[in-house]
Amino acid sequence: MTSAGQVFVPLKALLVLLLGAGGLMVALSLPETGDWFAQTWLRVTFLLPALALGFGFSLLRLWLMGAGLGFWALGIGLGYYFAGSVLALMAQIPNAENHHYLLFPASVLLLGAGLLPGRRVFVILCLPMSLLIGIGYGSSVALYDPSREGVYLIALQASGLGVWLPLTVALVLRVSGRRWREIGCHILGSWLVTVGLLYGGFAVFEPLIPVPSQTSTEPAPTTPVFLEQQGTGLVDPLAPPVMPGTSSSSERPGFLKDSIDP
Amino acid sequence: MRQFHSHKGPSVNLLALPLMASFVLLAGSQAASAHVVATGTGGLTAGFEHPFTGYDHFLAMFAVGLWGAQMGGRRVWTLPVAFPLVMVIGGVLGIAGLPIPYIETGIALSILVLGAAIAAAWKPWEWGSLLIIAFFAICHGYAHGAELPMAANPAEYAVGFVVATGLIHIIGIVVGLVLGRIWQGWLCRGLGAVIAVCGVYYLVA
Repeated sequence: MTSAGQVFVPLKALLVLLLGAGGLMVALSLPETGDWFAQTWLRVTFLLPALALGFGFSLLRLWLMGAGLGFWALGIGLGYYFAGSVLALMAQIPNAENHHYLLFPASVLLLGAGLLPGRRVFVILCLPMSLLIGIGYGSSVALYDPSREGVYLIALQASGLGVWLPLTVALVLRVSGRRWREIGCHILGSWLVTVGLLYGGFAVFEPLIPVPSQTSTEPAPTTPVFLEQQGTGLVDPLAPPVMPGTSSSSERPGFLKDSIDP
Repeated sequence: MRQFHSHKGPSVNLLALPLMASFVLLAGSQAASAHVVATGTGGLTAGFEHPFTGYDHFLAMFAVGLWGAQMGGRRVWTLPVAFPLVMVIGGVLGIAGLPIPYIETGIALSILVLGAAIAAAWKPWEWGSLLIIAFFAICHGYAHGAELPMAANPAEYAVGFVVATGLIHIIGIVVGLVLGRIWQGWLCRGLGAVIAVCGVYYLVA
């Protein structure tokens, strides 16, 4: 191991970090999509699965990490294009449509279950897990994607963020000691399982809870207005999303609208 | 790929610290930005603040990390891993609104018992320490879970308080690992005694 090689690894991480941060700044500064980006894709429900997956990737050998990233990116694409089917499947869970189809708790629960036992288990599960969680992420992107008529910039931004985050986290964490990463893997896994079970349990059993609840609405009412009359090709975020491959409003699944309506 | 796990070279260490720091700063700014614009009260911030602003929660969770670090070995991480997992049971009971008596007493007892265990440098059998932690985790989980249905955004609230709980454990671990080397651990034991006294205060008050 040469010192030049040792320097190269963190330099690579630094380069990826800076490139992504630059891209993030550009995405946030775009007048048409910047606000949507900040208020939707940078929510913790989008960031946490990607960050945690990056933590898991940091435990893997480089070739396996690359394969995992590939499966994750493939999953995002599949999830985006087959979002209707995925959401229809998730809608079978009681009360799922009122909680964004439980994509978030399902993702963190799955990921937490893979990280909790430690590196040995995660090495075995990382590829199918990356694919499945990627499908969840891609479906979430489609759920909140206001793109229409070929304007896929917002979806591309979200997908780019989704690929950049795990890669950067993995590369940055590789600089630290492996033993600490393995301990962190157990701890992070327990957090994710806890979040998944608590929120998932709450969402499923919410109708039975006697306490009056205020269900969440995403994006929040303070989200900026994207109106078609502005000629941006974007739509009101509170309107039902158009799933890829559909064009007319009658073909829209209307899942998001159902979840937002009181 | 072994070279990625080796960081003995001084050049790597020189780069590692600013790199990790910049990433943490960047990640922190994203989360803050996301939360400030998109959530009202009862979201990520409220969940995150709950364990930090409730001193009884803070002391108990800090003591969990401190005790694990004091005992050393696997228990450095098994205790902080077990705590949130068992906390789910209490959380679900709290969400369901099932009346459980003496929850506040249980929380106060957790501070007293964990503080006393640290003060006495007690190292029980691993499963024994996990059982103690599990019992108290249910009390703390119940208190958090009872607030979850009232949160404006339950998902972010849950993330907030679980992450905060874990961070307090980690603070406890770090403090325990550092203090454990000073005066043969007596400073750590003294801190445990202070925590136990706080537990007595909460129990009486």
